[in-house]
Amino acid sequence: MNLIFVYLVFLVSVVIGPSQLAKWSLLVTAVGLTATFALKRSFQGRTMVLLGMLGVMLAESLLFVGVSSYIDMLGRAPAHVGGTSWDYFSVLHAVNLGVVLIGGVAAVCAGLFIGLKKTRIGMSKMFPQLQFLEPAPVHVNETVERLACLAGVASPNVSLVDSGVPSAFTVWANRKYSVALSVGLLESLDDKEVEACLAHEISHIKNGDFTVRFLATLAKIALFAKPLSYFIEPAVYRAREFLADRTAAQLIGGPDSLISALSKLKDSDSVVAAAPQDLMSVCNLSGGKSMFRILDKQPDLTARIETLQEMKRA
Amino acid sequence: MKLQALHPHRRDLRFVLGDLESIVLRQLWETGKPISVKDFQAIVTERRPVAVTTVATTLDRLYRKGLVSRELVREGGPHYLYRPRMTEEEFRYAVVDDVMGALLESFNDVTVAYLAQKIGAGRPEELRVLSKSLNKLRRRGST
Repeated sequence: MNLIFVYLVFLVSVVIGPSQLAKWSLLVTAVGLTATFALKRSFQGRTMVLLGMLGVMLAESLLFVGVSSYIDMLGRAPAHVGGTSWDYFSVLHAVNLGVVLIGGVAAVCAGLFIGLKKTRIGMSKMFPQLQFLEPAPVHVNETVERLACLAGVASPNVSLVDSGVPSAFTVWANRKYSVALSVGLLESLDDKEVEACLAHEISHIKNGDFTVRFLATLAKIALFAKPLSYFIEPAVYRAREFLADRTAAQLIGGPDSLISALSKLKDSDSVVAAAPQDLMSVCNLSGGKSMFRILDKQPDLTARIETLQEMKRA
Repeated sequence: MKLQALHPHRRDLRFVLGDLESIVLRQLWETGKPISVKDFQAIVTERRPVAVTTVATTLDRLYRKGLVSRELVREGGPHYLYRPRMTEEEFRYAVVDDVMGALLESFNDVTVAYLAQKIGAGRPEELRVLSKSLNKLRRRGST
């Protein structure tokens, strides 16, 4: 709440103040949003625009700190030396400087933590609440190898999760991609549909979604005081899901089996997801029907099915 | 058994379970043998059309609540065979044990007074059951 307040103060004060930067940032936001809507069906382009917006926002806050430091130094220094009183611009400048510093340090820490620690531990350590059954079934291994070969990526590890809830996900663990799928997925979908789910996961690897998501999340952390970043980051995640669906449909030669897999998963009542939120899953059933879809990292299954059907018609 | 929530205004199994969970558990008691999700979905669908994924998820929830057990079979693709962990009688006893146990622990005097008053109120069979077990308790206490 405080952050939003600080941000509003910042926004209002700079809009009515002398700075052109705020007007510039509003313009960037407007252009970005327009481009995102215009690129409704090009998910790759959409990702680029969204990441670009994050980039511009980062550059803009650095620039603002620089410029305001400069102005502060130039014009107002004598007042400070005289110790008369604080003035509006200096306070604003100090707040903004603090916010940018905190965000930068937090993003660097998060980047180091995720890059150095989190990805070096194994699956069972990463998800202590899940039981992994070894080995994964032969036919699943074969399907994964075939799809990985088709997609031109190294074949990931495959593991079987001891859970009756249908789910599949991919993580970067032990410096290797691992695809995990639950017994529930295998027992309630047919082979074609399982193949489609696996293709979706392989597509995440092919499209480099881990890197994209990593960048978006780091930018969000660095821009923690800018509300817009809280909308952009989940939008990036959602765009990548749609893109993975599209790539998967190309890998398996048509969206039909993916459509039927997603429809079956939608049928299963909104249930506790077997896997934690933070990973790439083909069917992380999105629990509550939240009003704030715009903040969800997983797109609505209905929307995904519709997009695939459009692709079929096209 | 791990009960998560009580629904005081609902009856029978739905007092402690969700709608689908109740249907599935009852059907599992009736089936009476270990069964796979796919076969079980075919049976449940006769009563109420549900997707296989829904049945799989519901059985998983019952498993997590400790009401059914399952074993993994690898032949013919990995799948589970589910079976009830307790009979209907045992389940009903467990529910009452859970609820009454908690009431007796938290509101002992009120609960006992309430039971004495309610059961005494003109239902001879209930009274007979109660006095029988009271006698049994007394006998055990005197020896």
